[in-house]
Formats: sequence, structure tokens, C-alpha cells
Amino acid sequence: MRFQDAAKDARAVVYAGIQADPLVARLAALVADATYPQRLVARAVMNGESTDADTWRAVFPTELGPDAPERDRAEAILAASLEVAERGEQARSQYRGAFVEELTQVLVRRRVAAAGPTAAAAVRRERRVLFDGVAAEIHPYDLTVELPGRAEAWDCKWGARGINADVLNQLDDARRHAVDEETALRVGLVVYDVRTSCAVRLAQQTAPRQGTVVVTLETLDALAGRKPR
Amino acid sequence: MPDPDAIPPDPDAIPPGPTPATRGAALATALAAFDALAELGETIEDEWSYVTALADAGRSRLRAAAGSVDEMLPADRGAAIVAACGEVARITDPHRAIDWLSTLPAIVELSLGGAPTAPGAGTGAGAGVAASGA
Repeated sequence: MRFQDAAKDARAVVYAGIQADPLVARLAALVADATYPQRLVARAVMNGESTDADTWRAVFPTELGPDAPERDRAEAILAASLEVAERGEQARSQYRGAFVEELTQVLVRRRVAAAGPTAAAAVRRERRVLFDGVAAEIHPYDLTVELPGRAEAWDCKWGARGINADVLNQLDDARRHAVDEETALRVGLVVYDVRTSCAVRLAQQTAPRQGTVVVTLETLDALAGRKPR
Repeated sequence: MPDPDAIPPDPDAIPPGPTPATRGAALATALAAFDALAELGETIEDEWSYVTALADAGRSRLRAAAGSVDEMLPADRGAAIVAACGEVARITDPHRAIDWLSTLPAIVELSLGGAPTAPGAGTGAGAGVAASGA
């Protein structure tokens, strides 16, 4: 098993510009340290119709009200999420995807960093996983951990609707090919959506999923190897 | 005499409904908004099965979050549910409606003081990531 950079097509080049937008990193850093309700604020606002901050303060008095704990972080998440929402329907969709990938990277790096000072560099983006005698998959993985004996491959989704047979098959194929080479590859999906939606979606899939970890909005902190705040 | 500086009313604004005083009234408000979302989402034919299953699960979550329906609800919580339902009433895109079928029950749970889905639990597909994982 080995890892390889994915060739960039025109669409990937455009998307790379969004991934590099400081807004994506700022939002991901805020949400990485957020509570579940604060993460829900981000999801609602980035997926909402209204771009008026006071509307969202009314929707989330427990997070954005005058007596809310950690209100400063919640307000910062609100402001950054509104910046995404204000970019228009097509752009916001791409920003949301880039945000989930960046958030996943931040969290996974925190866990992997415990393996040593240089381990965080083993967390990579947009990489293929290659196996001897097996044709390479068309789509690269959003995030890989390329540590010997502790390899991982993750795909990231904004919503449960991103879970489909192609995604599940690709992840499971990679896991099985790794087993064939007598090496371990942990595979999983990070879905910035609630567990109920993911469970409903998965229940309707016939693709193999028993070996695939699914991380939802409620369990994101496990990516960093810690309990939820 | 009308105020010449007054901001004209937004023609797209959704008039707020009455603030529910009880958990039961809040549930009724949320279910009405949720049903409208589900109806909109069902117009995506390819997702009909998912939407109907998600809607069933969402209604169950809402009812579970409501708990004792006769119990009084703090004014700000009732207002929060009205505001959330006002937000979803603005949605006209069926794809966005499907996304909100998962988000609205979670917001209502928060407003009604219900606990979110148990942290650390998985989805039934290989379970969640173990904290001591890979």
C-alpha cells in the first residue's frame, strides 16, 4: 500500500482556491474547539436562508443569548458562518465542503501529533491509496494519515446525503485491499450532520459498511482522540 | 402622517407566529414547520424514500424532545422555536429542505433542553471513532 498525490484537473484548481481561503481555516479552527450546540449553530447558519445575525441569535438563545457560556466563540462562529452563507448558493456549497475537510484535518492532526513531533505532517489531503495489481480509484481521499501501521483514509461530507454506494464501496475496497497486503488501513466518513440522518441514510444503503467508521456532528471530537466538550 | 424615514416592510418576511407558552404548543409549532419541510423535500423524487424515513425519524425526535406537553416553556425558548420555524418557512429549495429535516429537530431539542444524541455513539456502521483510535 502506498500513497500518491492526485493529479489536479481544472475543477480541482478552482476548488483549491476555496480551500486556501483564510475564512475556511478560521471557521475550522473555531469549530474544532466548539461544543456540539455551537457546531449546530454553524451548520444551521451555513445552510440557512437568513443572513441577519439577530435572526440566528433569536434561534439560538442558549448559545448566542446574553447569558450564554462561551458566547464569544459562538459569536465568532456565527460571524464566520454568515460570511460563508453570504457567498451565494454555489460558492457556499464549496465552502462548506472545504470547511469539513479542514475541520477534519485540524482534529485528526491533534490526535496524530501525539505520535511524535513530525507525525502531524503525515496527515495529508487529496491523496490516492495505491495497491499492487489494483487499478487506482478515480477520486482521491479527502484526508489520509500516512503513518506506518496506523494508516487512515477519510472522506468528508457536509450532509448525510453525501453517503452513497460509490463512497462506501471505495472506502471498503481500500480497506479490503489493505488486508490483502497484510497491512491495516482504517477507513471512515466524516459527516457534518446529525447522527439520526446518517443512520437513516446508511440504513438504505446496500454497500458494505461494517468496516467503515462514520463520524457525525455529535462525535467529531473522537477524531482528535478526546471526549466531547 | 406616515414617517418618511420608516423602512418599508420586507415583502418576503415571514410574520412571526404566537410564542408557544407550553412544551406542547412548541411541539405543535415545530411539527407544522417540519411537515412543510418534508412535503417540500419529497418533491425530489430520487430522495423520496430517504426523505420519508428521515421525516419519520425527525417527528419522533421532536415528540421525544417535547416531553411533558403541559409544562410551561420559558419565553425565550418559545421565541427561539418560533424563530427557527420562521427561518425554515423561508426555504423554497427542496434540497435545502432535506438538509433542514435533520437540522430543525436538533435545534428544537436544544431549545427544549433535550440532550443531543449521545456523544461517542456511532451510527451503526462500524460505530463512532474510538478516542484511542488509529
